[in-house]
Amino acid sequence: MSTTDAGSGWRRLHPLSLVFRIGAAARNLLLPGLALLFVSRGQGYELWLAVLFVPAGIAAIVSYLSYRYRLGDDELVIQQGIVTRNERHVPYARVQNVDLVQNLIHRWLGVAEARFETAGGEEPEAVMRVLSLAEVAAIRTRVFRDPRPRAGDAGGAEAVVAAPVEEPLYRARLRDLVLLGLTSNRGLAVVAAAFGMLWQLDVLGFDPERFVRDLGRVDPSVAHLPAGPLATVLVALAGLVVALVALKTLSVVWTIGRLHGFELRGRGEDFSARYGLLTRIAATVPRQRIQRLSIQRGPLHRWLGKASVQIETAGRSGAGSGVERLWLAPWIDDGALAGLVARALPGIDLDVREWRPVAAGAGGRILRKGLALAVVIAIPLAVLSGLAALVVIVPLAGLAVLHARQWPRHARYVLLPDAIVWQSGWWTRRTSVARYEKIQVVAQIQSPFDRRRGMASIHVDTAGAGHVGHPFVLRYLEEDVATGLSGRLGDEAGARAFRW
Amino acid sequence: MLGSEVVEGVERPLDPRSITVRRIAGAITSAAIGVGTLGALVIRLIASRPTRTEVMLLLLAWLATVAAIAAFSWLWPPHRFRHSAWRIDASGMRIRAGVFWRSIVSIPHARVQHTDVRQGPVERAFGLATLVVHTAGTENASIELAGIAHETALAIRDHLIDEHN
Repeated sequence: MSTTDAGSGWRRLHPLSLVFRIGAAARNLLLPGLALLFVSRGQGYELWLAVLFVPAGIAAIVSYLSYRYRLGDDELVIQQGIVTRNERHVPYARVQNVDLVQNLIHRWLGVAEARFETAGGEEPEAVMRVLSLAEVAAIRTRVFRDPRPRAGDAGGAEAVVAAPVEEPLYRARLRDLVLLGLTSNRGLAVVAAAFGMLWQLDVLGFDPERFVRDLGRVDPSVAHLPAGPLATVLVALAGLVVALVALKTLSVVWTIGRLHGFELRGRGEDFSARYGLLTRIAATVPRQRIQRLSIQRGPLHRWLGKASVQIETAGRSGAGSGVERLWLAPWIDDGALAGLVARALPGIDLDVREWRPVAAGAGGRILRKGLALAVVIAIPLAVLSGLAALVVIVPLAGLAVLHARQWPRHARYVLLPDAIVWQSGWWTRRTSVARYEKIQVVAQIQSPFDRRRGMASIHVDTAGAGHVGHPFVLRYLEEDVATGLSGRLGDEAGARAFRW
Repeated sequence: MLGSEVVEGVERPLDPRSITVRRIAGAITSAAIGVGTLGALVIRLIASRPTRTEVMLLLLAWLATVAAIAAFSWLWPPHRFRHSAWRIDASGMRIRAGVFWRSIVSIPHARVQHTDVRQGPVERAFGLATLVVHTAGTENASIELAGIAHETALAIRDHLIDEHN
């Protein structure tokens, strides 16, 4: 359906884009609109609503009409704007991924949003909202110069995404996603969003104090609970359990919504992944562009012999970009892990015996740090509630001791011929792998505490390393080891050219 | 050619003039803080009709704070200078910095995306510059080397760009 100016090669977005643009504008104006309804108390609000919505609608139409793109020989050219005309050139060679995002309405109408991710930015380089699926397939073919002919696009989304030579590598069952959800705390995001909603309600006249007063009236039993420290502890524990169950339930729901029907396929050397319950995402990841690979194993993983594998490609880092760091396999058998890793990082074998430990004094430092933290928490608690504070402090100190004993046992690293591997964490164990080729900067940092104990840490910086996940920071190394390591990593990285 | 002179694999200190530049910048900051807080204090005092002793005490406290900030910005730059250095060798560039938290940042040549040479007004008056090296990294997406001679900064930049192409 996209209109093509024959000759010049300029194309427009799918006409439905107009509908989505107006819809987005309306959604942005929903809250001010509602506020207006309240403020004007129903008098003359139509006029004000028109004042709000009509310019937004016109802007949407203008922006649709002024947006056009062209698939050049080796670059994508996008023109937009009327007053300030902006022409953006995105060379195909710099495009890391073309991701396809489809929410429910998109799927119903057979269109999709295409995001072009390039390196060196958290935001996608270009977002084309929306295109027909056939158009997306054409653009993808052009961008990645796939020499193989494609199957006809008669089957809608499925056929478009699937190139003929794709081979299935991994598929997540619903059970896998439930288990993954149990290990994650993504429910916190939902809770935060709920708080945000409450905040918004507050703006519109919600009175939390009255709400709590009313709650007391509805449930007077709150006032008749048995008193005493034991009861307090029991109530606190019950509250904790309820909160935990709610958090995990939300996390499971979140994970299923996000990753439902996760499927990983190999396309020649590269990967393509499809997932999502309501919003379907189809992402293509060229193997060359994997900057870092992380494996996560929590207690539940270890108990069931599973692992979760994520990769980072440049230009992708969660916040803002809508598509997050990519799962390679959300919940995979330990046995199948090596094969998958070998496919993503050829020539890298994680089954090594030459692991190097962190400094011998690491445990002592972690213990002192943990106990100091416990004391800092203990002082105000003790002032407030006297001896009852022991209920919190003793387990906290115990945890500090346990952490100090366990952490150094499980923290280790190894230099492979082509990559560095760092493993840390004892409760949730994480392993990160970065090829020397992908290391951007190596920093050796020494805090005053490090200096006193003759230690240092090494920060390995790669493109697209998000702030969440497993930090690639080798902590508590002996100083001379760290110096040697940072020199070696610098040399190894310097000896290799960097291709995105 | 200046470009080859910077590649010697020897650790070099910053330009000693950077101490003066830092002190001037510190003096400007201290003066700004001093004037700003004094203004706020005067308004506050006029509004609350204090006794003479209160006025004297508050002014003394203000003087002590500003003097401490000024003293710090006078004494700190030599420490910074002593703990800062840079080195360029065949594999890349290393920048050492930090008095309490010490860091040694290594940037391989092949990872330099682009560079900026920046000069503030005070730096310009002393012929100094700040070199900013950009990489594709995240945590260290840009690394600054402040307090080197302008011509040194240009030479390093030329070298990094030559090597890159």
